[in-house]
Amino acid sequence: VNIIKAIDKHGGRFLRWAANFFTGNSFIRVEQRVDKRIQDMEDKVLPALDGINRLRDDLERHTLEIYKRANEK
Amino acid sequence: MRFVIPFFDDSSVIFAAATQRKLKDRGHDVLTALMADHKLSDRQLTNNIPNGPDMEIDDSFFRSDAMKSFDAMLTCKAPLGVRKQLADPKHKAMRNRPAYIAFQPGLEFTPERGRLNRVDFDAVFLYSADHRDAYKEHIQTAFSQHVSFGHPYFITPNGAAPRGRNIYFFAQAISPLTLSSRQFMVDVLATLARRHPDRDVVIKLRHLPGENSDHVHKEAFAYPWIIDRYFQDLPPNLKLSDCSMTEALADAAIAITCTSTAVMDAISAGVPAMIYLDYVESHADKYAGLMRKEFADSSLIAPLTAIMDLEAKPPTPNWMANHFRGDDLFDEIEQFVKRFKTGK
Repeated sequence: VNIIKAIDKHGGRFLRWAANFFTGNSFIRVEQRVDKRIQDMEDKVLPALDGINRLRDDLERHTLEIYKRANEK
Repeated sequence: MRFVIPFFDDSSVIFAAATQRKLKDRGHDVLTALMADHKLSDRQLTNNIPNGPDMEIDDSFFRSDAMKSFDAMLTCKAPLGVRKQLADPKHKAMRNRPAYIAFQPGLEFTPERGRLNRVDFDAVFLYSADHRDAYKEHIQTAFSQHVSFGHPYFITPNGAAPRGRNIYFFAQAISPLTLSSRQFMVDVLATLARRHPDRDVVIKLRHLPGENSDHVHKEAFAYPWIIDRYFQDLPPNLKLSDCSMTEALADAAIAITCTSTAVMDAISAGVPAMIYLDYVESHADKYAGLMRKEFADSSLIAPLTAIMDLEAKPPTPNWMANHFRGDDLFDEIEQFVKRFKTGK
């Protein structure tokens, strides 16, 4: 009985893997996992990028302010 | 040879005027033709073509026998009437018709649609060697289309020094994009004017309020409006001008722009050019990113410190070779038209 159960279990896993592979399901899952990871990374990076852009704008405003003061009458 | 150049908006009128001048200098008979559905004000028209257009036409002109009296039609845009005519196999196969030659209006940051609009032309000239290669890669035609690069006013400078002594900022309708970034630019130019009181800093407007209302690039925040509303104590040597490009370049010692094609006109006229892309909120402006890419190896992109000290660098030779041509461009046009008309 145990041997038959083991064959059922591993055979079943193989059949499920084969069905997913040949119908393309496994690729869809991989693609979904990759999309999710890219989204997670973007969620982490974009706020940091916003911060960098704000800093860059502040720096440019600050540089202009130095020139404005230097050239005031 | 006999050429006709139809025009209908502010990009094509500049193209028509400049190309007519260049081809007339080479001894050709060149007529400018104002299209009936044009979007030009009297000021835009007389600024560029003081004596007025040679002809006024509508779409039926392209189907008429009058077209047969020309050797070639040149355009920087592809009007619908011309595209329809060229899509008709009967017209395409007609004897004695002129050669249809398309250029681009100027710098083209999103060229995909423009490429498709030019597939039926007999010859296409893209504005850079890179764009020519991309066109050849993406577009296949059923006939032998002549594909090359060059633009009638992206011509290698002749080495003459700039004649003017003033600083010109060439404005553009949609870039900088946001109100804050445009206010920042006025602030930069006002500071530049205070720093160089012996020169005028001129904001050269592309168009006046009310003009270009049908143009694809609509200006949300015009510089005269920003100055009226947000700036009081501006230096007297900061000025606004609606003069023509020719007049501006004759009076300029330095040309500054963010994303305008005027940078190419300036280089061609021998006026040192600087591109400023670090204005605030430039990260929200897609044209700033595209301009940065197009001019990455040109050495023309300048930081604020270089703008303030007017430290313009000459463009790099490789970049120049990729974007500018000499008079051989006109030799090529003439040879193509000759080949087309003789069928060889």
